[in-house]
Amino acid sequence: MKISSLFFINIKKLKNQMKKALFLIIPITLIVMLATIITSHTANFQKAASEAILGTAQEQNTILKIEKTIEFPGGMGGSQSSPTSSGNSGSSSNSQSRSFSEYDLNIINAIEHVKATQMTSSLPISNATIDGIFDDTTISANSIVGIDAEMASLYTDQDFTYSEGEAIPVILNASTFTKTYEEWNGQEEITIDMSAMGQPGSRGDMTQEEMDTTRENLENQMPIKTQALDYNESELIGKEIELSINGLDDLATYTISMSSEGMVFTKVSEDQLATSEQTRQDSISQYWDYDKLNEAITYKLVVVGVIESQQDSSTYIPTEAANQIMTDYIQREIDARTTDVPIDELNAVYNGLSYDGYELESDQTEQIMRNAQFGAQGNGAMMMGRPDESSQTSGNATSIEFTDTESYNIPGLVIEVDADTGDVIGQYSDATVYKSSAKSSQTILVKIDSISNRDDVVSAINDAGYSYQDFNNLEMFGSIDQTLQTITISISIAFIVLSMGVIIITMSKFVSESKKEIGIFRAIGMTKSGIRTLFVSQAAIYTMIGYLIGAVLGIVLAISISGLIYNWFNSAISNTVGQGFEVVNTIESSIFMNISWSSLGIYTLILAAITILVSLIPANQASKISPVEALLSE
Amino acid sequence: MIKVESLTKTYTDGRSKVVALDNISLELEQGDDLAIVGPSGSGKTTLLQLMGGINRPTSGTVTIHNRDVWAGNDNTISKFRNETMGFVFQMIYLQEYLTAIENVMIPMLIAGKSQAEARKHALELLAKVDLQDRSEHLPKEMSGGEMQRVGVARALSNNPKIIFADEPTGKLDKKNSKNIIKILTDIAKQENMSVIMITHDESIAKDFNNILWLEHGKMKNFAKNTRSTK
Repeated sequence: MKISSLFFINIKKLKNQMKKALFLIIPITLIVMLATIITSHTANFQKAASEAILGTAQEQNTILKIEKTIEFPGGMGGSQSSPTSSGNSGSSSNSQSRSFSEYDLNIINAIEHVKATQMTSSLPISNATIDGIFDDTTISANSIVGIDAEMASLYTDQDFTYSEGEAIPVILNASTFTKTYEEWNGQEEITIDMSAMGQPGSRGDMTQEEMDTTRENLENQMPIKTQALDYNESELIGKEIELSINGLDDLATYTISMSSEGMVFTKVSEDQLATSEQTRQDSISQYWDYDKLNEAITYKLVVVGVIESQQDSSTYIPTEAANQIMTDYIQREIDARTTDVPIDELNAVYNGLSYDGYELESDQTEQIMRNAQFGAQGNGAMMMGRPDESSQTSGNATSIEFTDTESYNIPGLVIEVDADTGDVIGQYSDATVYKSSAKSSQTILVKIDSISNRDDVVSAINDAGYSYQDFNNLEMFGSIDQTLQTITISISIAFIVLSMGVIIITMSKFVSESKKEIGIFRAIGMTKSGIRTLFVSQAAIYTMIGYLIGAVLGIVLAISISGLIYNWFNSAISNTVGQGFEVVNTIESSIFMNISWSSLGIYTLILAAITILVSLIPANQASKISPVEALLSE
Repeated sequence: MIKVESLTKTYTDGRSKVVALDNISLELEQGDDLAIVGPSGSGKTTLLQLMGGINRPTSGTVTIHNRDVWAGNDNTISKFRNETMGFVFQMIYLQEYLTAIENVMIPMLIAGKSQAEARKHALELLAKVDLQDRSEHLPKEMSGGEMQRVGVARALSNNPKIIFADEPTGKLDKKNSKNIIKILTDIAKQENMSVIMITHDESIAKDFNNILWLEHGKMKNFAKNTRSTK
C-alpha cells in the first residue's frame, strides 16, 4: 500500500476527529513551545553572562591586577612626615615595600606567558577637577592614572588611543562621583568624642557591624559631609567632559586637632582666609607670576567607561595623555617663574615634586594615594584614615595642623635633590621629566598571552612572593555557565521524556478507540504492517502539526519576552557579579532577541526520532488486533 | 474453484473445548454461489471467516484456484484476500470518516493503486449501485440501504473472484433487502463471481444454486440447486 494512501487516510481521519487529535497535538505544541523559549533564552543568557562577566571578548581575563596592600604605620600622626620638614618623605624604593618598583616589574615580566606589564600610579597633581558629568557639581580628580591601551581593555571595550588635539578617552570611577560640602550649623567649632572608637579595649569587644555603625555616627557629626551622586552609565559613555588642572591648592577652610575631649574641627574665619591668601600671594609673587601659576589647564575628555569598584578609586586615561598632562603641568610652573628661587627656600617654603635623577616624587604622593585609597575628599585640608586601621591610637594631644602658612605647595615645581644625601640642588627645568622618570606604584597590571595560562601565571606570581588572589571570575562564570548547562540538559531530558510519554499515552488511547476501524481494514485485506504504518504515520502527522505550531508560538513568544528577560538578566548580574568585579559590560538587549536555531534543529530531529520509535509500540499493538475480535466486539 | 476440506475450528478455554465448526468439506466452481443457512450459533459466521481468511482454522484446508488461503505469512494471506475476495457485512462497516467513494477506494488503495486510478474505478462501481450522486457523502449522511450499497460497491472494488456476504440484509427493511440481493447477484452473474452468503431468509436462499445447512457446527445438509434464472 502506498504511503501516500496511508497519509490520505490519516488526514481524513484527522479532519473528522479534530477534537480527539488535540489530545496529542496540544501537549506537543506546549512542549515544543516551552523548549524553544527556554533553550533560546538559556543560550542568550549564557552568551550575555559570558560577555558581562568575562568582559569584551574575554579580554579582561587576560589582565591581572596586582595590588600592594598599604600598611598604615603607627596610626595618625605617626611616621607620616609633616610637609614642613625637609627631605624625602621616605617613600623611595628602598623603604620597606611600600610600593612596587621597576625591580618588581622586571621579575613579573620574566614570568612565562606574561605578555606585558605596567605599573600604574597616580599623577602627582593635587588639584584637578572634572566638570560636565553632573549639571551642577564639579568632582575632584585626585587620582588620575595613565594606563596603556592594552591594559585599558580591563575596563572598556572602546577605543583608548590618545591623539593630540582630540578628546582624551577617560575611564571614570564612580567612587569619585561625590560632592563634598560643609555643614557647621552656625558653629565655629565642633568637637567629636572619639572615645567610642578610640579605646583599644572597647574595640576588641565590638563586632564589625557595631564598629561600622559607630563610625557612621561619628561621621554624621562631622561638619564635612560627602554625598554620593547618582549617575547613568549608558548616558555617560561617549559624553564629552572637561578636565581642569587647577592652580594652587585651595586653602583649608577648617583645621583638625585632637584634644582630650576628642577630635576638634575648627572653622577658619573669612578674615583668616583672606589674610592667609594674601600672605601666600605675596610670598609666591616674589618668584612667580601668581596669576599665570594659578591659571587652570583644561583638557577635553570623552568618557569610554565607568568603573564601580571598592578597591579602586582611580580615573584612567591613556599613558601618553598622562605624560602630556604632566609635561604641561610642569611647563606651566616653568613659564610662570619669573626669577630663580633661593635654594634654601626650596623644599622649605616652597614645595613641589622632588627629583633625584631617578624617581620623581611628591611629598603629597603618598598622601594623595592614601586619600584615594580611603575615598577621602578635599584638597589637602584633612587627613582622615579609618581609625580602626591604625594599630594604636594616640591618646595624647597630637596636633595635626595641616595648613602651615609658612610653606606652600607650588603646582608643577620640580626640585632637584641629591640621590644620596637628599640635599636640594635646585630647580629642575625639564618639563618632560615625568615621562622619563622611574615610577613606583601600588599596582602592577599584568597582561597574559592567553586565558588558558591564567592559572599558571597566578601561581608563578604567588611563588615569586607577590600575593595575588585570583578573583576567579572564570570560576564564577564557570558556575553560572554550569547552572545554565544544567538547565539546558534538564530541559532536553524533560523534552524527551514528556514527548515520549505524551505520544505513547495518546497513541495507545487512539489505538484502543480504533479497534473497529482496524478490524474493518484488516477484514478487507490490509496487512499488519499496513496497520502499523498507519498508526505511526498518524503519530507523525499529529506530532508534526503540534511541532509547527509550537515552534512558531515559541519563537514569537521568546522574542516578545526578550525585554523582560533582559531586565531580569541585568538585575541578576548586578546583584551577583556586579558586587565584586571591576566593570560589568553593558549588554545589548538585542542579545535576548536571538532564537537558538541550532537547538531548535536538534529538538526537531529528536522529536522526529522519538515519534517514530515510540509510536511503534502502540502501532504494533494495533496491528495485532484480529479482525474477528475487533468486529465481534460490536 | 473453491475447495474446502475437513475444515474444523475449536476454541479451548482452560479445560473446556468448544467445537465451533466440525469437519466441513465442500467444493464450488467459479461462478457458483452458495447460501449458508442454519440457526444462530450453528457456525455460519465461523465458516465464512475460515473460508475468507479472517479466522484461522484449527485443522483442514481452504483452497481457491489451487491456492491455499492460509499459506504464508500475514502479508501473503492479506494480499491474497485483498485480490481475490470481497466482503459485505451485516453491520456494513464503512469507515465513518471516509466518504462513499473513499470507502470504495480502500481495497484498491490497499492493493497499491494510485488515488486517481482508485477514484475513477470507485465512481464506476458506485454508478453500478446507483449511488454516483452520493459519492462525496459521509456514511452518517446516508440511509441503511444506501450504506450497504456502498458496502457492496466496496466489495467489488478489486474485481474479486468471490464475494463473502454475512447476512448483508440483516439490518435492512424488506424493500432494501430485495434490492441489495438483486444488485449483488446481478453483478456477480455479469462478472462470473461466486457469492457465498449467510442468510436466514429462506426466500433468498432458494435462489442460490448451492445451499449448505449448518447445525451445531456440523454440516446438516448440502444441496445443489439449479436456479431457474441461470
